[in-house]
Amino acid sequence: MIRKELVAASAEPLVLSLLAKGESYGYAIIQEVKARSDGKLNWTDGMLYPVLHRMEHRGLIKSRWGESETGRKRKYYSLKKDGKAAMDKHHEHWMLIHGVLSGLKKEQYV
Amino acid sequence: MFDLEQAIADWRQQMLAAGIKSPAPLEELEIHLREEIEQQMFSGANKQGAFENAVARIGRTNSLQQEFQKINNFSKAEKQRRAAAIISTLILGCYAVFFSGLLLKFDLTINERLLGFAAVAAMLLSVFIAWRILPRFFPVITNKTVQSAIGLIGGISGMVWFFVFVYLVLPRCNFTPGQLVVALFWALIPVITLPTASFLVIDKSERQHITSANF
Repeated sequence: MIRKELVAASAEPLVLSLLAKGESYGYAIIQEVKARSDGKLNWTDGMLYPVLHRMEHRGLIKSRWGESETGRKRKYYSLKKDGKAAMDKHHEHWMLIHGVLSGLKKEQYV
Repeated sequence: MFDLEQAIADWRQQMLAAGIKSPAPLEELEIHLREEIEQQMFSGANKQGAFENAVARIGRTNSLQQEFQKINNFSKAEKQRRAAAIISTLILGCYAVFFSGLLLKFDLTINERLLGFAAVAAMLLSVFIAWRILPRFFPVITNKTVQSAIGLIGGISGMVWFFVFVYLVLPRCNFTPGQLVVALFWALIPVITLPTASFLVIDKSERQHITSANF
């Protein structure tokens, strides 16, 4: 099981990266994260919304109310310019950490 | 017989009672709950089981309320910051107009007047640097004691400098009235800039220290 601190820290970069593909809504974001992590990143569903709202307050994403194909009301989120910049920064930082960890792991097998 | 609509209405009441009073988050959570129930039923769960699983997945009401409360506090603080920025800009504008007016009113030589205007410009520039550039070079300081120390040092050092200037520097200089005015203009720069800079460094830390969600 992934530690909750790591899950929380990865929420923003994951949401930003998902929204970079196009607008989406809470339920779909959770399902996609779950599917892409083979169910290992299992968020407490409700906690995604404070994250989305916080990112919206910070000007990283924007939202609009719309309707699903079945006519159900939905709040769609999309990336803003500052969100794109924040996502690039996150990628840079996570890749750096990944690189350091991978390097250290390789050295263990030499 | 399990009544799904009644169960959802009761869950909504629990959320309201826990303090999630803003309509937008509550509506969004309810939409999510309904989607999850639908999905669970599609996978074969009965109404009651689907509802209970969906509620469990949404999370505890108290934790949710705490997270939304943090956002409310954050947006309140943002409004205060905006108001403070407008007031500070107005004060600086008044400062620039008032002191420039004084410089034109006093009987000064052309050099003294130019040095006076340079002091006004330097004051505006130093406040701009303290606002837009300086905080970039400081880390996010989360320790409240360190924050208080920075605020205290900024405030006290400005005052100490002014006392040093008035009681130690001025008595040793034989300024003409014009030179005195210009010297005072320059002396005021650290008095304003040091507390402003320390406040803005602390404010940057407060803004960027956004607590992670408790997933």
